[in-house]
Amino acid sequence: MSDPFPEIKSTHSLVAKYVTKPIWEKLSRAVTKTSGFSLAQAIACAVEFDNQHCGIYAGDWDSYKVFSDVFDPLIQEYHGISADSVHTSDMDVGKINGNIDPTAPVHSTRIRVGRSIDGFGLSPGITREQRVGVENLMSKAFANLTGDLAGTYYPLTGMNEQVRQQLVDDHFLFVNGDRNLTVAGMERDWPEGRGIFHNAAKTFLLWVNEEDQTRIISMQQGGDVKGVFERLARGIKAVGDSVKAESGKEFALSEQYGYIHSCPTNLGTGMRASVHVDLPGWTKEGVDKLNARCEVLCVQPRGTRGESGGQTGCTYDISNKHRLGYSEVQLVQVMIDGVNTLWKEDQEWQKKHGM
Amino acid sequence: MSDSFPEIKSKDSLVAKHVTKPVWDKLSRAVTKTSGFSLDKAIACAVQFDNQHCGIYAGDWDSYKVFADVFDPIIKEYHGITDDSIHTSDMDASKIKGNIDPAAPVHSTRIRVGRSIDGFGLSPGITKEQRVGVENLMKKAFANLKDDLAGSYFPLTGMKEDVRQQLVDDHFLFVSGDPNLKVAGMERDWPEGRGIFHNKEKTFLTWVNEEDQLRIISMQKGGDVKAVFARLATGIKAVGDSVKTESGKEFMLDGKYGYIHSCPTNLGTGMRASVHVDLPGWTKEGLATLQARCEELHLQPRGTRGESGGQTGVTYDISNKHRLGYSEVQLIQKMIDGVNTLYKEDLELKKKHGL
Repeated sequence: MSDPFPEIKSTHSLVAKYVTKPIWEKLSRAVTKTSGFSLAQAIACAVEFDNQHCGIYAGDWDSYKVFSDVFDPLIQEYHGISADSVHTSDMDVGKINGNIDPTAPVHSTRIRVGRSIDGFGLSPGITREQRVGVENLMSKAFANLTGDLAGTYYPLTGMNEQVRQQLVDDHFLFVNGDRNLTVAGMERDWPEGRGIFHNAAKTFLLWVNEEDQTRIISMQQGGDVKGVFERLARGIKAVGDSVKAESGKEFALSEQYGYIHSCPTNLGTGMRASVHVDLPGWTKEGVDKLNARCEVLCVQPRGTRGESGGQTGCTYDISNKHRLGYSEVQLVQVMIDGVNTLWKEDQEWQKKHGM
Repeated sequence: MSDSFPEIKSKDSLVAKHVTKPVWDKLSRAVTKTSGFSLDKAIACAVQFDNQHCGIYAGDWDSYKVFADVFDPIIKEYHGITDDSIHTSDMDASKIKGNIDPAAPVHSTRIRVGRSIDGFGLSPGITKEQRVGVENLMKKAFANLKDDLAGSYFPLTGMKEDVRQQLVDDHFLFVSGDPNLKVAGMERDWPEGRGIFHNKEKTFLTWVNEEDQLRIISMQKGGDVKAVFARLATGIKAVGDSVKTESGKEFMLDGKYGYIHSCPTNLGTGMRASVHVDLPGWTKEGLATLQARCEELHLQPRGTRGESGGQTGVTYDISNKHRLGYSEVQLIQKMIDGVNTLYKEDLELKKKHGL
């Protein structure tokens, strides 16, 4: 028996490059033990859409191994690492030099990582039972958080619609309906098993069962990146310790690829450290020029209403571009330095354009 | 999650050589789509026994692809083929030159091949439902056989014990209890789904659901290998056509590896062409010397009570050693030529030992 080789619509994607017919013939009849995930499911986005750069997701940690003939070269090419690279984690805020310029018009700072608990599937593949299992485990784990990290877990199921919309508008909560997430299988059984934890101040939050099992988030108004990073490091450790205490399970961590996420582009630190900052000078100069400058500075500009939200006005979400091949400290430094540079240059553009 | 790397007791086996820890880490979390077969099941014999040469079985055609990192080098090394070898089948009995010397003391001749129907698992992995499905399909297919091929199917379940024992003693029927077959998973749900078809003369037979889904057999008293081969060719074609008519399904045939069998050592022709012949001169000379001579002649000597039956007396089962890398015609020729040579040399050895 064989499964016919699919037409990969994203003809310029990494999936199109690495999922050749011989690879397909070899791996199309395999499924993973943890969640029964297949190569067809993994590459669904590259097959159905024509605009994917990467186009593949993992359904569990097993996927990275069973389909390594595809994932390994793809990860190496995307992240620019070599076959014998190892991942180094460093969450020591003491090593950060400086902070964002206090005069920069930063609305808010947010740093997130993804974490997956070993033994459960990842969002594209996780079974319904496993998803509820993750939620139940996290509910217990949250109860052990103390001090400024202590808070409450709010399941998405049954959440008051106004409450939900406000949490989204305030940039705290994820939404559903993202086409990639849907096609990749991450919105199965929505909203069961999904929810958000946060402390009273909403400066430490955790998403449960969105694109990853957990997204651990530290955020606050203003531009004190060091402060946000310090809280994140503490929070990640507290959550990890609590999960271990409740279940004996650890975060899925690969020596080569760092923290395991459903999207291979998030491997490594899984960290996106971002600010919402006004760049009116750059806006006048042009979004294309800003994009090019950000490439050089190793940062990524986005709109302020989520990954697929689009750009309006002159407020940008600026974050580190890389996830793997650098430590967390290095990436936070890149973001701080990059934003400071963009702010300095923004003031010059404002002068140039008579603003 | 990971499955701990097993201790492979057959240290000198091809499994020990090719299932290294990195390969295990990569593939231990994969299962096949057709029958849910895994690498640990495939290598169970090499893990549990210390005397395996090969030590691996496939649970379905998928296994050969999903676990290609293990099967490809093992198959290449065992059969002595290259990366770009392809399999050539040739069942044209008219190409056979000569026959076994009529003076040779040949009791009987038997030629068997294995065949597997695409869409079902192979014996180590086949599900209970699939096994019964194979039996049901074969019952229908056997009913279409005509003339000297026409006969009856006798399920093992409910077979009278004295009938069963007689069929075994007369070298027609397989037995259960072989340790390799058990450990490899081929005796699950025994005797359900197993049976034997034969024509009236018991010169054309088919085993159902033993080590392979089908073993198609042509046999008769005496040494007329050409005739036995001609009947086999006709019979294989008739069975295949009948299966196709009844189900639309074909025999599993791979461009590189030929006819798919559960044991990689049977790939290619899947053909064992044998005679039971007396070699008193060779017996006196010594079993070890006979074995060495057979190696040179590309033959394999066995006892006459099945693959694991052991050697008594002066009667040997002599068959072609190879399965893959040669056509059926070539292997028949080797067997004929080899037996004729052994017989001539046996006469000389008898003289030498005053027999």
